[in-house]
Amino acid sequence: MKQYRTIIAVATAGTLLIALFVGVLLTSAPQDGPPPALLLANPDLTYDPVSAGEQMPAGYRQLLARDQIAPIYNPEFTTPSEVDWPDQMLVIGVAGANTSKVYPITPLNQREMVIDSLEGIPILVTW
Amino acid sequence: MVHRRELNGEEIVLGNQGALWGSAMTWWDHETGSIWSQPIGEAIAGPLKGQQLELLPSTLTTWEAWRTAHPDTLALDIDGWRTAFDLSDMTIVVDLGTDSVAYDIPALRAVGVVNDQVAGVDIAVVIDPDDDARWAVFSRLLDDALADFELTVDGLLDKTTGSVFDPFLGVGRSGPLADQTLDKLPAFTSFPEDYPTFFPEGRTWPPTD
Repeated sequence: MKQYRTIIAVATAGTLLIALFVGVLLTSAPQDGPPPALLLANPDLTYDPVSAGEQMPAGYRQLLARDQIAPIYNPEFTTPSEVDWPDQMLVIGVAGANTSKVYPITPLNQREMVIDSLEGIPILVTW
Repeated sequence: MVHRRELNGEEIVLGNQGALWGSAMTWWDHETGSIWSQPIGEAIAGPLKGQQLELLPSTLTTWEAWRTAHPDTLALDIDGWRTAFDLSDMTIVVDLGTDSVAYDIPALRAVGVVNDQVAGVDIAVVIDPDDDARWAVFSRLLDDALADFELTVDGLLDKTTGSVFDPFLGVGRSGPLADQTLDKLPAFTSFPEDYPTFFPEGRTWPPTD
């Protein structure tokens, strides 16, 4: 009986080790694939310091509603060979250890914000 | 600018607050609704007031220089956006979400400035009659008044207060509001034929009706 218990304990420990190993593999894998979909809040249902009557710093000017200029919440990417951009076009570039991303200024002029990630690090690109 | 969207190791999602502070954009975060200032990356109101996001290194350069240094770069897919154009037959598009207007550049050039309203927001579109590449879109909301602009040899004249501003930077030059700077709004150029594709409900200026 004791023998069986030992076998079960060893088997359980083995399974745990394998699970742990797979877990480490999964979490340490490069996260360059599409990031998980963002959980977006409804701007109208989210606390707003202005409408709540908080004291705003001098010079604060509310011109538009939240997200009236819609940020790019789910950016898509392509390769340099797929685009036909002018050489002298201004871009914002970010580089990680293995991956780099580039955002032309032109769309940022209109959308102002890109909610993105680079090698698993959540980033916000603004112009 | 590129900021790290993390606070104490937790990812946060940011949106556009639609307000300016110190002439720079502000964000709201989806978790707490706090208001953040872009240049300092810091929450200026709300539950997270005083918290700061880490600024990450980024490069502002030309496409050619970036592509040469990073041949394997991922490029933001801006399919549908044209980036090379002859401005003379284009339009300036002001898109404020629920309403958008495409301003015909040759017609704009003839008047210099248009005082208008888009999505209920009072705006002015200004263009240099001698240089189509120099244009700007401003809010007409001043401290205590609504501006009514005219382009003069001295600059952008607000007929309501008698103040004059730089027509493209918005910096005050003379008059009672000389110490103020107009708030800039985002806008972009588009081909007239592309406009209905992206903005089927969009209006045009001058109105076609």
